[in-house]
Amino acid sequence: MKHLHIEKKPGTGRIAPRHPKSKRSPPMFNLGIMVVALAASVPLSARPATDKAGDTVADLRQEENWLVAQLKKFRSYPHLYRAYQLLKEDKLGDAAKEIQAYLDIDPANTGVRISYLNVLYRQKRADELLRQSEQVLRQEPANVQGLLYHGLASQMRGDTDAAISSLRRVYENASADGKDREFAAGNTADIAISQGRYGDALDALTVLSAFQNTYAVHYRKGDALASLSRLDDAAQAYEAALEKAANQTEQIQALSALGYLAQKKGETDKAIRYGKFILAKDPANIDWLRTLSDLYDEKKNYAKSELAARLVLGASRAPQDRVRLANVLAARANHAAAAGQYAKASFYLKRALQMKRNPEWLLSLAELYAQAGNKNRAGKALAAFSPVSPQDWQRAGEVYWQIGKKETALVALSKGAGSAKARMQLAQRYLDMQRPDEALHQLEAALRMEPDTALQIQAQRRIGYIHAQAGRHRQAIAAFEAVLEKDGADLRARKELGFIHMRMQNYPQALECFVHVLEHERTPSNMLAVARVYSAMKQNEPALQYYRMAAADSVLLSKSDAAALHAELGFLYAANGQFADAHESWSTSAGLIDTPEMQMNVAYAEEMRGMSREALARLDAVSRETLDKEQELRLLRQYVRLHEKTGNIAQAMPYLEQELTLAPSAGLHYQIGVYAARLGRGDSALQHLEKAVSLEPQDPRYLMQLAYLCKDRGDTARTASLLEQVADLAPERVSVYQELGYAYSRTGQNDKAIIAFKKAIDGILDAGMRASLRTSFQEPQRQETSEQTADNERLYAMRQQVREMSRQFQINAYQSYRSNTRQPNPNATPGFITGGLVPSQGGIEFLYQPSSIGYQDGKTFRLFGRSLWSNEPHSLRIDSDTIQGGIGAEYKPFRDINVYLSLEKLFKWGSQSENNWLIRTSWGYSDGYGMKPNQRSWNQTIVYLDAGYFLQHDNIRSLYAEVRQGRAYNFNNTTMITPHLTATGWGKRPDPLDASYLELGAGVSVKHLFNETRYEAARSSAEFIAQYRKAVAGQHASGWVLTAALQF
Amino acid sequence: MINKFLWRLSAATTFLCAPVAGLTAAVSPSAQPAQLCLQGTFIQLLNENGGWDKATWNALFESFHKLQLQHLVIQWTVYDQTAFYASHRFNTVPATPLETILALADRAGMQVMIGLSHDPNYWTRIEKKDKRSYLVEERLSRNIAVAAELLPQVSMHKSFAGWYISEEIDDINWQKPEDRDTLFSYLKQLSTFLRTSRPDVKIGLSGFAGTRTPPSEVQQLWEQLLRRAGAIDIVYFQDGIGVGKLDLNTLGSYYRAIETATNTTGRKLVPVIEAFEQISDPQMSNGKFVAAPSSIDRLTRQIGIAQQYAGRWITFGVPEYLTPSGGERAQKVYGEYLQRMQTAGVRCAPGN
Repeated sequence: MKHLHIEKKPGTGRIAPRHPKSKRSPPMFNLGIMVVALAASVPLSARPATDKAGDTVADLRQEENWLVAQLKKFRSYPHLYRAYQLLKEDKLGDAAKEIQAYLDIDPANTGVRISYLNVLYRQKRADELLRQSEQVLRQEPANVQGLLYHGLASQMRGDTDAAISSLRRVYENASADGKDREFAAGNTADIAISQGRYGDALDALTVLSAFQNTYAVHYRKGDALASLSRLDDAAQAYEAALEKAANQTEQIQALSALGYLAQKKGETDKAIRYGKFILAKDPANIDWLRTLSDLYDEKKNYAKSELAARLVLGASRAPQDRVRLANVLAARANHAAAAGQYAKASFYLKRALQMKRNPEWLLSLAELYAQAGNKNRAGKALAAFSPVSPQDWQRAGEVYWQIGKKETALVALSKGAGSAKARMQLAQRYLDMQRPDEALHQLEAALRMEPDTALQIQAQRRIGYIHAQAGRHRQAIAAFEAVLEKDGADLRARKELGFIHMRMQNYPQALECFVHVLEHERTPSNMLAVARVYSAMKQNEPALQYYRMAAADSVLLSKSDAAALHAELGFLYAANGQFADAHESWSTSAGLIDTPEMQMNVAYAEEMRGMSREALARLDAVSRETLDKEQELRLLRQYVRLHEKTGNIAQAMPYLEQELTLAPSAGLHYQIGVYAARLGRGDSALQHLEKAVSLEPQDPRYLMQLAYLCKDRGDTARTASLLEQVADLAPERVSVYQELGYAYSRTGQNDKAIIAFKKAIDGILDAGMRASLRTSFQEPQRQETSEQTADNERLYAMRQQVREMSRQFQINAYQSYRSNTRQPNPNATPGFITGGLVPSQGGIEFLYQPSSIGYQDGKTFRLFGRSLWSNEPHSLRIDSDTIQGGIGAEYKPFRDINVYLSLEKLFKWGSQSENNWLIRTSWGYSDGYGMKPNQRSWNQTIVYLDAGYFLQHDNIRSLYAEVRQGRAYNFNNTTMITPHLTATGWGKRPDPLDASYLELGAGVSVKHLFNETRYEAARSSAEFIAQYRKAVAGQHASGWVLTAALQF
Repeated sequence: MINKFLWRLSAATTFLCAPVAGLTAAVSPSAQPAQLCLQGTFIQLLNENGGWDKATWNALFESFHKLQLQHLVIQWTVYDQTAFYASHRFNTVPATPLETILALADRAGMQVMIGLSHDPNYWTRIEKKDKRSYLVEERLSRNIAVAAELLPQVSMHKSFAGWYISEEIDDINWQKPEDRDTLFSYLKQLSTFLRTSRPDVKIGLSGFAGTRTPPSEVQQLWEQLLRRAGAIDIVYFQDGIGVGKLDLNTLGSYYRAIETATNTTGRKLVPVIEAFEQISDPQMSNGKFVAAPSSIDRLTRQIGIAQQYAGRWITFGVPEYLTPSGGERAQKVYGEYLQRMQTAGVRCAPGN
């Protein structure tokens, strides 16, 4: 439709062989010349030669020849005459015979032979003409006439080469007659153009133009140049022709040539301009209307193209012009479709179809309707279309798909699935319909068709996706590895492979994939992928750095990815305890996508940073209506924790109760129970803890807590029972045995209590052994941990407990020495060792604690017997006059208060002693009197009061008080050295000797403990006390007091 | 190899007092001027460097300037738990030298490759079975932490040219496929991190070989390594002349092997010229390394061989063996070297 056939254009048609009629005449063609020739009987061209003949040397022979020649002339003349007459009558055949007869007589007469050539040419006797012209040329090789006729003869015989060759010799011959050269050039041009020998034609036309500066010559020259693809030169020639155009026809012809030339040169605008000139001169020029339609089509100016095509159609009903218009409309439709103007496109295509029945367009129309959303029309167009090829089916299938006839579409696509690509398209549709198995089937079929590598990769990738989505990781891996085998640089496939390995928790493989991708493509998304693997592998340092790098470029991520990144980074920071950074990351995440979850994360960071108030305010701002159950539970827990941290358990309780309503559990009942107990809400605590135990009776924590509660509530029996259950469930829990020991102890089950305590002691000691083994390979432990301190204290307390419960016999002995005994003051020994009511400097005491009633929940009953004495002045010798005997019983009625009541019968053994009854009450408070194992030092405070009433004699009422404040230092857990201050007072009523006193002093005590077992604290001790006492009231003097005491 | 012994270098150089044969021998008149260009040097930071003042560093850089050095490789910036830069993670030496070195290099227009961390137990750890957890967990985390901490500090300096991975790759410990896989995985992960953190700077790695491993095997190892760890740009290959792992006759074949490996994978080979001569037997001296400056003749021959395979090379170690800071003998060699450069009218190009 748009081809430019320049050789067929007007003007060029004249190149066909034709007779040179108007301006060029054959040589010697007119009769006048012939007559002259005949009259002279000499050929024109031979004349000079003849003139020279008379001057030659061989005159005699020439004379004779001349006679012969004259004879011949007179004999031949009649032939010439007749020939002349016959020619006048246009009887060419007869004339030719006469001339031939003449030439038979005088064959050397070239002039006559040339005339003969003319006659032969007019007779179109090509062969004879050729023979005769060759005869001439044999005689005169450069004879112009001979060459001309030889050329014409050759032309007539179709021997173009010979014709052009002969004619070229003429027109290139500068000495030849101008007319002959012009004729030869003109004819050469015609022959050469007709034979497509444009180079020869151009040569001839160039010579010709020297003779003829005419339209025709320039035009033909333009043709020749155009044919030689010398388009610019051709344009110049056509423009020269245009200048020489003598009329409108020639103008149009030249313009047309220029227009086609411009079209050929791709100068569409220029061609259009020429077309417009032509049509301005010749509006009905249908050729140029067609060309303009093509040119506008080329310019995508479809409106004008259509207009031109319609004008053509107005003038011509030729089928091809209808097709032209249809094609233009189709192109216009195509253009509109490309611009997404489907309705417009379908409008044009429909009109195109009205001009030309084209199934392809029908299908396209259906596609356009489908694209435009006009399902009905698409369906109708499709109904009118009969698919033939697989491609038709495929396209039709796509239209069916688009108009919603999916099953029909699948059928059509199946029919069209003749190629791997079509099968992949079908597979995609199956995928769209959530039918992955059929999609997989099609993709595998596509692969069996061995498509090109790109399609294989595409198919394998989709297979990989399908398997991955179905959780068939191994098959997915195989598919993506197949992709990578074909194209190792396929980063997409490698990344997918990484994701699958990640899902399979094949972290090293996933890492390898993601790192490889990152190595080639530095994007935050790839950094994030690498960070996630490291995070999953618990390699926090690389994970953190990659998260940070990804965060730095997170603007390049989607909002959701960026939010997820910052959230994950926050978790990583939180795991490292970097809550300020976590706070910032989570805040950034919340700034991107604000979710209650993220707000709770931020609140958590605030909580961990000690910003409880801000955290609470943030939680208060969370809209609980938007939360799902899990989130709401998390919110409540955060509230509870925050209130817990601020020590406000009461405020935490409502949240715990809400949590319980949402998700009841033994754990929650337990926690509420614990808090209720701490808040003093015993009943509520009991209720919840019992519920916890009922829900999960096997959980020792709940039983234990309930046991504690029962203990606090004084329900000792239940406490013991619960603890027994705990011990059964969690025999490894040392504290249970400890508590159990105390519980048994309180219920008077001393034997059981001892067994329980022993288990607890074993547990602590074994745990301590394990810990010491653990730490022995690590940094040397310089300081006891608080946990170890607590353990030691517990251990010591239990050992003491075991000792107190199991000990039946005890012996106490003491002896003191006072440097200044100016006044009798035998009461030198501390009262909490001796009891201070009966003054003495030495003594020995035997105590017996009956096994059944001796120890009951910290209350003790003991029988004792003792002997007290004073020493002689400045001596340790016992003053036998002072020996006092006694026997009695003492009772400690309270578990936690060191109050002792006793009744003692005093026996008079020395002269200064007496028989009497003593009722006595003593109370003591001590802090740090006993050993604190593994503590370097501690405070020691001792307060002791002893009040007594002697029933006989003077009914003496006596009161002894002593206070000691010091600091105890521990050596090897066996020896305590305690520097201290002391205040001691004793008084009695009546006091006739005014023996009452008050002393202040300072001293040091050295106490060594021994007789310790695994289960019992040291039963025995030896103590030495040195004090200097200053009397501040009473009559006795100040001085040193030295005391030694032994307890066994 | 280098770091296996060279952290004891300062002691070694001062320890030496015996004259070294050939040390002050007449300079070979046949050496081309380019063979006197040392181009650059490794700097091995030791505890004592943590006490150097600026004047000492200035003096060292003045020596570098006279020797026309253009490239520096700081072998490590963290040695065990000691950092030679201001660190929040590691113990820091009193006067952190890294900032000073970079500032002086900025002023001198030098290019500096920054080494990461070095574990003194590296050579014993890689002999053990569990190389994977050591490299891809311990070493990776440590080096990433160091690079992340260093990056803001070194990025401000125009002399910062790239990272140097302090682990050296030998020809013996990576024979088994699983060990190679571990090594390659580690280097890939580390180099990718470094490339990701600063895409515009180079990443270098050093290695060496001995004659008991044929060059073809060395080439294969390095080709595999460089293919897997695509972000590594420069291979610093130690010539081993100083420690006697290779000799001047065999060195060329190993350079050729590495050159083939680097060319095939599109990387750069930078030979490391050992400017010392080991004079102790490690087994006899209880593992202590004792070395002396090499002869200048030998040094120029080493450079001459390197020149055949690379446009750039680097010396180990100018500070210890070719400057006054290396002690008396190093100072003497330094003077002679300068004189020889002056006589030959040496003008060193930076190397490419």
